[in-house]
Amino acid sequence: MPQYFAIIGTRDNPIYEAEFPSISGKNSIGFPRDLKELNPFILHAALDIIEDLQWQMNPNSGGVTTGGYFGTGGNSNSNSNLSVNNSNSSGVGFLRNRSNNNNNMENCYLGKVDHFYGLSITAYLTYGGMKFVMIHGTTGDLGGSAGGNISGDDVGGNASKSAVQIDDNALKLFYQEVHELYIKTLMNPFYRLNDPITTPAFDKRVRALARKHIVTSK
Amino acid sequence: MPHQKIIQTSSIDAQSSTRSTSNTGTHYDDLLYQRSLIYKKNEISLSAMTFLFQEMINYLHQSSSTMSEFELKLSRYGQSIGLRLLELLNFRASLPASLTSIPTRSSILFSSSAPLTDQANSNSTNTPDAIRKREEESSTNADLAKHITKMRRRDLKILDILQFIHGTLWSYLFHHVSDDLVKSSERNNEYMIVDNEPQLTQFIPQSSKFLNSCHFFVCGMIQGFLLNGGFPCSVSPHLMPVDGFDERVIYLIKFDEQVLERESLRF
Amino acid sequence: MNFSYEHYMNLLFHLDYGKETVPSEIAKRIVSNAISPVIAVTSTSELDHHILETYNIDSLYMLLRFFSGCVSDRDQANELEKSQKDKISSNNTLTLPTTSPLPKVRTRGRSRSNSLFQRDSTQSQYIRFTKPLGDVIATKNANDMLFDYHSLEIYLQNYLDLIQKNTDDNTPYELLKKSIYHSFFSLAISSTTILSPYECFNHPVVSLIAVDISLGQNYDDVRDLLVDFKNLNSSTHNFPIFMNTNDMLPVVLLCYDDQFIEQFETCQALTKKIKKQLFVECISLPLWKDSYPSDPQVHLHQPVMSSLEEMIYFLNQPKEVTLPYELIQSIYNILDSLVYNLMIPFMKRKIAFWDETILQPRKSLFHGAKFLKKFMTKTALTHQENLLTKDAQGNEYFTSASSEFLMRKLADWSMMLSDFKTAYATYESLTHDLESFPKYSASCLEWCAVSLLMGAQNIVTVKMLKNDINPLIEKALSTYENCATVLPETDKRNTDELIVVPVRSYETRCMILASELFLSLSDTWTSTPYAISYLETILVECKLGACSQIMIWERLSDCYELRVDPRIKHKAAGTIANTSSPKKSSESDMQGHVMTPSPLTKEDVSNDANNDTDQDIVSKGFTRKRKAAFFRLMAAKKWAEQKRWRQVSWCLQSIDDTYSKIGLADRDDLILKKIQNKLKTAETETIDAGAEKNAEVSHHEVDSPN
Repeated sequence: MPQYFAIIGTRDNPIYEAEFPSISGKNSIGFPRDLKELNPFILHAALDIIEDLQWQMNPNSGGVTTGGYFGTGGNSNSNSNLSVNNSNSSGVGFLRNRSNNNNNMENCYLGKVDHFYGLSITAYLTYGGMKFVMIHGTTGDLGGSAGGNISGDDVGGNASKSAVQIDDNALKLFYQEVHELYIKTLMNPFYRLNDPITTPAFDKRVRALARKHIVTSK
Repeated sequence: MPHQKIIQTSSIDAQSSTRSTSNTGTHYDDLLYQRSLIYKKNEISLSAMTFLFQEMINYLHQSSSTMSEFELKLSRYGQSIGLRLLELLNFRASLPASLTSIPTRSSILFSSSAPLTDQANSNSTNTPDAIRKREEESSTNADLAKHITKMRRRDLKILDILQFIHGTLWSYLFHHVSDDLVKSSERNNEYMIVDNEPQLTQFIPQSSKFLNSCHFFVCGMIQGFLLNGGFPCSVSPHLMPVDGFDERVIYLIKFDEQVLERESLRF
Repeated sequence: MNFSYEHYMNLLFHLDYGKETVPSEIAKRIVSNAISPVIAVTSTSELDHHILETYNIDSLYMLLRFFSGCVSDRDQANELEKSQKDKISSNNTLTLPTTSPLPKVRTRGRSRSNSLFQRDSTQSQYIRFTKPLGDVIATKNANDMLFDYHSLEIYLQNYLDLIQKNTDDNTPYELLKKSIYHSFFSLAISSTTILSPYECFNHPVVSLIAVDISLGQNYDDVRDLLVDFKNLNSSTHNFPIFMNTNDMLPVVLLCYDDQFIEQFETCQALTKKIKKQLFVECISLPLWKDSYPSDPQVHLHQPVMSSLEEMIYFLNQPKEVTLPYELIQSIYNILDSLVYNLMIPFMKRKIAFWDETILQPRKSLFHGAKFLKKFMTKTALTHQENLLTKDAQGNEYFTSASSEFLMRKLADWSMMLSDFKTAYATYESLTHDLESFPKYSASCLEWCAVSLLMGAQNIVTVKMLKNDINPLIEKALSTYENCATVLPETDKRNTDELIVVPVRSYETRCMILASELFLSLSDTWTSTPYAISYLETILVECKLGACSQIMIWERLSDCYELRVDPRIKHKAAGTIANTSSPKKSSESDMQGHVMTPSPLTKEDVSNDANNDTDQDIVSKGFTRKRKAAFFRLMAAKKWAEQKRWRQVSWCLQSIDDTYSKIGLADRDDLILKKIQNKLKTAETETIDAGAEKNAEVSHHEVDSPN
């Protein structure tokens, strides 16, 4: 399952993008072409939900702790079910917070926030409101199905293919370490907020982190 | 003793600005990322800081035609620091106690093992040997995130983030928490942070008509911190001397109405 | 001029209204229209010929079609009125008292309710016209489908061609697109002439029998036609066993020439005689008059498309039709009379009768004893199997006389008359009675939910949506789904395809209607996710054609656009109104950046932060605008694949703002730029090749497999 990772600035502007192909034997498998063209838009579409979660007390209530959550949201219409859950949990959420008033849940890592057909989207927020977002490709034969799935006419056939299993702990670690790299970038007084991060040193390190934590090999 | 207090900045802040003049390109970037974000007790002298501050004020004063322009520009200097500190300090606050409890020892430790790399004047040592040493250091110390089990929560409420400013930010900048954090009784979008003995401006004569304006640097830091944390506001300084504290200043924070509105909708 | 429902539904022909907003309660109107009582029009060939000669309209049915929709709207008459306000003060003064033999038209104070925003849709009556019953039955689809996906696609293609022809890239498109969806999609697939055995919305309620007095047609002609109609049950081969002419009200329409007083007198005499001897009511229509040609002529606009069949007809004959103003008024008057004096009382009588003879006995039998009822139905299960009757083709249905079907009819008719309370209660009890007949109970479940949404729209709560309405629809859908598995046992000859598709068409209708009704609720934040989920299910499960699917994609985008938390709605509306001005200011800020002379000034950094103060931080996360843009982009991509360049262009226009601000629009490696380039190439090609060739191309595309 290839991944597409981006850091989104405070004005929805991507400041860093990278694709992590998955490794199969000696070959690395990236996203099919039509998904490559689409990925930034899929990410952008998820920002609404991320901003919603950004200001919720328990953005990932019930999400991160119960492992089953990620596996189940397989078919395409659970997309909206997810949103229903969000709005509901937000309502329940505050009440719970009010009554207990102790929040130990972390709220930087948001876990899975959205999905589009077989693709899952996870997110992480920095303290300055930078959004780290990632699209996780589908498992299985990526050559045609995932791409043809979205662009083709026959959405029905493949849409119910189950979503990707996400290893939350590994992913969280990846996000945290990228966060650290980002802070280091920001500490450079000559780097301006929301500027694209173009230095190869950053890119090199992010890719190394991806290999370490999240890139799967078959 | 109070007059001997020193302003601290992160070692990175201090070093990168000097280093960048001699190093460019990927090499410089590599160094940037090899450096640890961990708290190190690298102190620079108050006189040096004051000198820099004086030059900033001088420069801005000459380039501004009005006082409010001067204040705005000074505030922006502060903001660019504030927005960085927002990320840095929250990140540091996420580090487990085992790492944060040894900052003083660790900095001693590392300065002894690689004494030159942590010094601002070390930019001459680019021998392969020194680079290797730095990489060693980075492998043990540069990547802190993996030690974090739980990131500090992003502050969602006005009170939470103000307390962080009052405590952590102030301690980082001035070595002590701010002297008071007060909510306005008249307007519910106004809060005040009180500093009895503002350090940066202590050498500016009290008779100077600039004194109040010079506080906009700190105001900017507060504002930059809040703004990027999602709390748009304006911050202004007010000199409020009381007995014993002739230079006492109150930083008045006025949050946008939107912030209160969001709070009422969300929480 | 007022912007009326008809205008909206036919916006393609009223492009000058392109900047209006979607009429309120559009979903309720669509449903009301889709289930409006059907009037079958039978006329003698002499009469049709006479009409063709005088007005260049094929038949009486075709003539009346222009007057279907909301009877009380009278919008075609109002159109002229507005231009001639001085001459004609009001509709009601024009009831032609001297010539009309009608009982005086009741002025209900609604006849001028053309304004969309005043009318209470529960008080207005919609009607539809159809061909003579015999013809309708002859064209009955053996597959029991409500509509078929393939023809839907073909008609949509034709409609899109027409749009391509009638518009350009600068046409205001936002309302038009919604109008296309509503008129073509929602209405066309939910209202058809196909006679369903499971519900009776499309079964004619009134049979209008028309003769031409001016040509000397007389009592005998009327009697023969009436006898033919009454005998349809037995005389027609394959007359559906679930229908009965006894449940239809025959009404005789006498068309005469108003120039001759004796014709008028003939009508009056005939009316009395027919009533006395045949027990049938008559209406007289002064279809001709010498003064008509000199009367102001009114352009009739296309009637609201109420079915795919109408679409075909319309696409084949896009001709202008004009009628004299006075005649239009007369037709409206007789329709008023027909509907309010005859049809509605008839329906009410029937409903009362069924209520008394079927519903009440049941209620009292099981009064308060739910347990007993359950017990009874369980044991009666074997009985129930026998209740179904085989028709000539071997399909098993409830007959028109079975109490189950009459109950269903009672409910459907209550729906037609906007008595949602009765409808709901009846559907509700039917869902229990018909549990073992999934095809029947699915439809009942569906309409149970619809009646709830229609009747209680203003009091629907989040809890109701979650606990009552959505489960009903989900249950309806799963029951429809089950039909596919239940059916093969009863009828093994059917192939899978045949079984699945007819049920699917009901399912699709159910989901489209439900999604529209959900969208019409005031709390769109809560309701849109349901609508989205239904539409996505359609995309995934229903075998819609390519263009039809894209229509759904676009509707999904609309849904996300509507997903705004009610608490920030005022803000969202404000930002929409102000979009142009703040955007410009931020643009100039950006330019300011570029102009900053020295790279060493750090102000830039803080400038970035400062600009964020302009953002509306309260609304953040309470809308789904970016999702909406994305779905629009997907639609654009798909339209481009279908070479529907006008649609592509409109889609791109609507998302341009969103994506160009953040730099995604200019990147050559991304889809947006690629679509833009394709569009440019296509446009230059079009100019080169000329319009004619373009038409060929698009037709060619229809056939080419994708």
